[in-house]
Amino acid sequence: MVLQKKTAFLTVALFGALWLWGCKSGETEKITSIEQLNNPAYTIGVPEGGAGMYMAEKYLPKAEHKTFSGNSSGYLAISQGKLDGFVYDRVMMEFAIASGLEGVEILEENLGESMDVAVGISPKSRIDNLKEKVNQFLAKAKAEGTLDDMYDRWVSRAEGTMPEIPAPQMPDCKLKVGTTGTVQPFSYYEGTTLTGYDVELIYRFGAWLNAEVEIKIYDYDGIIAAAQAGDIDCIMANLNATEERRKHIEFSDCVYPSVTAVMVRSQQGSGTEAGKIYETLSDFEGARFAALIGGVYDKLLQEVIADAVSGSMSITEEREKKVDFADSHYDSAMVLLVRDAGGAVQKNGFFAGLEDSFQSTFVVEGRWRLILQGLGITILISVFSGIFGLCLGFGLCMLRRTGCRPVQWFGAVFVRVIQGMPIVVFLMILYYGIFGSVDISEILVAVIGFSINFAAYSSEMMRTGIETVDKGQSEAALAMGYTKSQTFFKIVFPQAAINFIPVLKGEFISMVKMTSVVGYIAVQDLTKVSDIIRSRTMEAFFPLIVTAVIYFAVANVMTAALSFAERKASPKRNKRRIKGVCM
Amino acid sequence: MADKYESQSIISIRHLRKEYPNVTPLRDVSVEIKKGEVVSVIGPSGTGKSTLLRCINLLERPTKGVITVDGVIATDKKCKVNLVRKKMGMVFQSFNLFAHKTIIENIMMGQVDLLGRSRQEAYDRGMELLRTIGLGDKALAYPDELSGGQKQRAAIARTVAMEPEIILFDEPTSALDPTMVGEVLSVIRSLAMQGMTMMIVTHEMKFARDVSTRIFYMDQGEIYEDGTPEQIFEHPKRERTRIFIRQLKVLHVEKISRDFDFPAFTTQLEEFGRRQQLSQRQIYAMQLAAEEVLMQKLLPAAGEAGDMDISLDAEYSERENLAQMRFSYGGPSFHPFGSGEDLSGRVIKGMSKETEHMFSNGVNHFIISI
Repeated sequence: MVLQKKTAFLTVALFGALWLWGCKSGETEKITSIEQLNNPAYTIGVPEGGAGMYMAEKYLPKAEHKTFSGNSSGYLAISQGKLDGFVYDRVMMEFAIASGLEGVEILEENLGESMDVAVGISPKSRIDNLKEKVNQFLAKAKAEGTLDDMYDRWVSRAEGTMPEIPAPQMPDCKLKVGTTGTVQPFSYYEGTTLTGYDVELIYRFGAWLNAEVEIKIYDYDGIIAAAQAGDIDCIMANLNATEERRKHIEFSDCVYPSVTAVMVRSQQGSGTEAGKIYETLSDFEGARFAALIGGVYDKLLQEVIADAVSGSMSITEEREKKVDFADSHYDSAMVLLVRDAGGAVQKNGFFAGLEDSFQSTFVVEGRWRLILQGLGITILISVFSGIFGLCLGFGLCMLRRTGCRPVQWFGAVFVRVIQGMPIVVFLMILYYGIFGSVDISEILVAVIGFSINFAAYSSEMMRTGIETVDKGQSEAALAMGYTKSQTFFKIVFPQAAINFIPVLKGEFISMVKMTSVVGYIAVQDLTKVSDIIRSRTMEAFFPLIVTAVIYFAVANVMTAALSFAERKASPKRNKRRIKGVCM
Repeated sequence: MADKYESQSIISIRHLRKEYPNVTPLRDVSVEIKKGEVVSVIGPSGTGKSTLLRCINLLERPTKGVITVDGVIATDKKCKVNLVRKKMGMVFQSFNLFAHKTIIENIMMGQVDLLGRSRQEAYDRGMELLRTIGLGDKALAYPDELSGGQKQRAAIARTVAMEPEIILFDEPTSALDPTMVGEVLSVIRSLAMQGMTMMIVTHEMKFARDVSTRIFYMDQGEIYEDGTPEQIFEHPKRERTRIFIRQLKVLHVEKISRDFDFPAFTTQLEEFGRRQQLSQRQIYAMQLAAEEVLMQKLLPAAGEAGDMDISLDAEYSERENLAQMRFSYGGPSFHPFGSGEDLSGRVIKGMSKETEHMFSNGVNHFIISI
C-alpha cells in the first residue's frame, strides 16, 4: 500500500514537472530576429544535409539543432510548438504557409548568403560526360530564358501547370532521375501525377538528351546515397550544392540561387482565443504579413485580392480549400474574399473540419487513387514477401536441421545476422549496396529484403515448432516403417504447423506494418503516399489516422485469412469424419 | 539342420555392442529369437533392456555386432532399414500415438501408406482390431482424449494392424496408472495366445512369468541369464538373478580384515536397515550377528590362518520380510560355530530363524537368516 502511494505520488510529481516544463517552453518570448535564436535555450529544426543545415551551423551555432529528413515533418514540428525556429528554403516555406500551414511566420531577414541549387550527378552514371551535358543543357536553357520562365511560372506565379513536353520517340538512352515528390512547387504530386519545377526540368533535360526518362522518389536522406550507388543518374530535387554533398557526388552549374530563411511560431493564440480580428483589407498590413513580403505570398495575395475585387477569381479548387482553411483561423477579411469567390464556406466545428480533411486527403485531385496505389504496393510487398519468406524460411529451417555442422552453422549465423539488423538498414544495404549498380525494381528489392527478413524469423519459429513435436511420435513412425522424410512430412510437420502458425500469424502482421519503411528505398507504399499527401495538405492528423486505419484494416483482413488457414491445419476444429471411407 | 534353425529364428543377434560417449549400455549380446517365442526381458533399470530393443529395430545404431531380421542383415549399411522395420512392430512406453490424427486414422495411416491397402480396407481392419480390444467407440477420438490404458491399447492395435512378424514391447505398462495396467496386459496376453512372436521389456514379474516362453535376465549390459520362466523364477543359477528375482536389497562389504572399522560398519548397517524399513529388533539382530561372527570367530581365525578374504552381504527381501547375513570367506571349510555351543553360538541361535553353512570351490558360505 505504502509503495503504491509512493508510486502514485511520484507519478503525479513527474507529470506535474513535465507539465510545468511544457508550460515554460510554451511561454518563450516572441522571436523577431534571427540573432535571437542563436541561443542554447532555443531549439531550431534544420533539414538534413541542405543549405538550411549549412547556414544554421554557420550562423546559429549556439541554438540546439534538431535534424529533419523531410521538410513536412519540420513544418509540423514547428507548427505544433516543438521547435522555436525552422531553417529552410524561403520559397518552399512560403508555399507551405500558402498551403495552409498555420501558427507560423517567416522572419524577414535571410539567413546567410544565397546558395546554388544545382543538379546532382551520380559518379556511377552510365551516361558519359553527364555533367558536361547537364551544364550544356542548363547554359542553353538559361540563354533561351527557359529557366527564368520556369521559375516565374512555378515559383513566382505559382501557376502549377506543366507545359506539354514531348517525350523522345526514339530515345538513345535511359535517364534515371531522383526527386523528392514532397516539395511544392518543385517536385510534388497533383493527384497521382508528379509535377513541379524540377519535374519540368527533368522532362526538358530528357527531351534535350533524347533519353527515356524514369523518375524515382526518395527522401532527402536517401537521394544522395542512391546517386552515389548509381541507382539514379542525376538528382533534380532543388538540391543545394553544399560542400558536404560535393564530397559524395558531383554538381552541375547553378540552376538558380536559393535563399535560406527562418520560420518561427507566430504569437497568435497566445493572447485572446481568436486573436486579432481583421475587419478590413487594410488590416492585412499588420505584422503577420510583414514576414511574407518579397516572396511569393504577397504576389499570391495581391492576385487573390485583386481577383476578389474584380469578382472574377480564377483560383483552383485546391487553393480555394486552403484559403478557406485560413479563414477560420486568420481573418474575417479572407472570409469575405472567399465568399465572393466560391460562395460556400463557413465550415466550423469538428465534423465539418473532418469533412474538409477528408476532402483534401481523398477527393481533391483524386488523391484516393494515390492511396489506392500505395495500398496495392503495401499488399503486394507483404503478400509476396510472406510467401517467399515462408518458402525460404522452410529451407533455412531444413538447413539447420541437417546433420552437417558447417551447414547448420551457416544457417544459424544467417538467421542471427538478419535478426540482429534493423530492417531499414538491411533494405538500404540491399538497395544501395548489393543491388546498387543493378537495374532492378525497388519493389523487387523490397520483396527480396522482406522475404529474407521474414525467412529468418519464420525459420526460427518453424524450428521451435518442429522441436516441440514429441520425438516419440517420429520414433513410432520410423518403427512402423516410414522413411525419414515420410515421417517428417506426414507426422512431424503437420503437428509443427499447428504449433507455429499462430506465432507466424503475428509475425506476418508485424511484417505488414514494417513494410512502411520501404519509402527509404524509393518505393511508394501506403506510408510514403500519406507523406506525399501530407506534404500537400500540411495536415498531420487526418492523413496519419487514415493511414493507421488502413493498416489496421489490412492487418485484420490478413489475420482473418491466416486464421482460416490455422483452422484448416488444426484437425480438432474440423468435423470428425474419415475421408474416403464408408463407415 | 543349420538351415532349419536359421529359418526358425526370426531375429539373430551376434556380439551386439552399443556405446555412448559416457556409458556402454550394451556390452556384448548374442541371442537367437525364434518364431512363436514370447520373450520377456527383465532386469534392473539401466542395464540395457530398452537399448537392446531399440537396437533391434535400429532406432539406435549399434556400435558393433550384427543383427539379422528374418534373414536380412539389418545392420548392413546398404540395408533399407524402413523395410526391415515393417516386419517389426514396436510398442512404446509413452504410447507415441500421432497426436494430430484420430485413433482410427492412427491405425489406418501405416496400412494405407506402407502396406498399400485402400482406405476402406484399412478402416475395416482398424475397426475390427479396435472392437476386439474394446475401443470401437473411440475410433474418432483424438489420442489426448483417451486414458493411458486406452492409448496403449490403441497403440498396440496400430502395431498389430501392420501385421509384423514380431512385436517389440518397450515397457508397455511403465507409464500407466496401476489401475490401467491390467487392461493392457490382457491385450498382450491375448496376442501371445494367438501365437504372435513378441519381445517384451517389462517390470511386471508375474505377467512375465505367466505369458512368456522364455526370459532374459539382463544385467551389466548383457543377457546375464537366459532360460524358461520356471528356471529363472524358481531356480536362478546366478547370484544377481537371484537378488533381482527375490527383490533383495543388499549391503555388500568386502576385504574385511583386522583393520576393519567395525563401529562405522555398525552405523552403515543401521542406516541400511532404516532405509529398508526393518524393525529395530531386526537391525539389532543384524548388528549382533555381524559382531559375533566377524569379531568373535572369523577375524580371530583369520589371524591364525592368514588372509581369508572375508566378505559380507547384508540382504533384505521385502517380499518375504526376511533379512539374511551372508558371510563368505576363503580357507578350509570352517563352520564358525561348529566346535560346540559357546556364548556366541547361543546368542546367534537365539536371534536367528536358521543358520546354514556351505563349502564349495574353496569358499565358505555362512548364512544367518533373521
